[in-house]
Amino acid sequence: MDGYQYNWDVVWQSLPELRQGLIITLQVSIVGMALAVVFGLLCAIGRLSQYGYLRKISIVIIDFSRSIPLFVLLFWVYYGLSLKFSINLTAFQAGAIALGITGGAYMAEVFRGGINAVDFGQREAALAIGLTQAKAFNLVVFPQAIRIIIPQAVNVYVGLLKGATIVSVIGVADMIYVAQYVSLNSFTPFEMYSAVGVAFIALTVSIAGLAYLLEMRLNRGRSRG
Amino acid sequence: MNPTLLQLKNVGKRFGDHVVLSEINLEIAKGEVVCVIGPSGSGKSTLLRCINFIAPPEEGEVIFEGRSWKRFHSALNFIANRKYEAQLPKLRAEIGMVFQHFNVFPHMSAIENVMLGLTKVRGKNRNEAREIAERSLRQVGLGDKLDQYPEKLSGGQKQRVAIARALALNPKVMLFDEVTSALDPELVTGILDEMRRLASDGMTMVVVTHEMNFAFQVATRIVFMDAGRIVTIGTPDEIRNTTEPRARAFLSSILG
Repeated sequence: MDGYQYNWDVVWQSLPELRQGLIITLQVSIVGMALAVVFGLLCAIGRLSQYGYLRKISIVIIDFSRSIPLFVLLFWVYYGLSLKFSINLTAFQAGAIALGITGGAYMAEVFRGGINAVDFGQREAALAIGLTQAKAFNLVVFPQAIRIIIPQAVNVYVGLLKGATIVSVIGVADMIYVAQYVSLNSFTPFEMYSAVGVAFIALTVSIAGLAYLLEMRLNRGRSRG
Repeated sequence: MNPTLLQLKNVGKRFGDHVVLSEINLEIAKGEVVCVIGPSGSGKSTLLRCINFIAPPEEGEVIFEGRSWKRFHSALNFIANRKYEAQLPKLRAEIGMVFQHFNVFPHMSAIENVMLGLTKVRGKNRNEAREIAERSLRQVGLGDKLDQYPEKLSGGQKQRVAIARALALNPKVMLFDEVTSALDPELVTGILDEMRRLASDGMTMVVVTHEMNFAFQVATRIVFMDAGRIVTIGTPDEIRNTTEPRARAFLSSILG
């Protein structure tokens, strides 16, 4: 029985394309994350609102967004919007939006958790000196919540980054797409996907490192008290 | 008698079905020091929070310097309620409050804690605010801790920051909510002395406290509360000799 002949040369030869794919992966995940932050913050504010109907709407939106598999969401956004509403998005746009919706649901919970973790007395004290609700939130509650939010937001982003590998199914030319495409001719899916895997490990580790530095910076000389 | 600064009229507060305060009537003259005593859970802290509407009362009204503050019940008054809510920061800026757990802002240095209200509520520029804040912190004996963050401060120092933060806004009345209860015993006296100084400077104060000595020495009147109601009000002497059974029981359990 012949052993499998590894052909790593293919990986080296396709590095320029893989690099291109990596950039696309990063782009779609970063745009997706930006959307997730906005969508998540809106949902979290709704979720924490004093108005019952806003809370209920937000819960429904969050649960709904969180329950749909990204794969299905991608098809709905890309093909569904086009078929039903004649809204034609590029594959990249559809991918970013789908990631934004999924990530937004998680970000909403991250924001809510962070905001709730700030002692209620902080808000009371902020209101007591005459700050408006909005200023009390922006100047006192949120700056404290952000330190709890950031590490968890990084987790959400890492999730989105990996989730971003699915966008190849609607034809976004990300790393997976490149690996698939190259493998079709060279019959080396194992090598190509492994290369993608290594790239992801490197990315994730660097992001975690950056997040750690950021956290240290935010906590410098200060803590809860 | 000085003119009335603050009046609670028939104030009532509920959390869901649970009635925390009912039929609270209290008139406070300028310069008075009113101490509120009573068993825990009697609604003392909530009473303070109704005065500055941090916990808005559902019933009755608060009259501060002749202006009435109350919320409307009906949902049809949504717009009126929004308008009234938008005005609340103005009321609160005139009322200083100090809390049991200090509630200093941990992400700001001592002086930034004090400056926040000056810049964001009073609209002062940073230099002006810094000057006032510095003076305020010096008054409470923290002149050498201006740039310290709360985590580097003791409980007593944090509480001084909180007092300076409230005083810097030049409030017309100060609310104290069991401000020594979370302090180490050796730090209590310092904070109480700070409050005595304020009282002798003529500050109007409403003080929820378990420090009976302080209450009987400093208060112009003492309010005894139980089960969400004011049971009796009187001068320290009147309260000391009260015949009201619940107040008697409470006092003898504390004073022995």
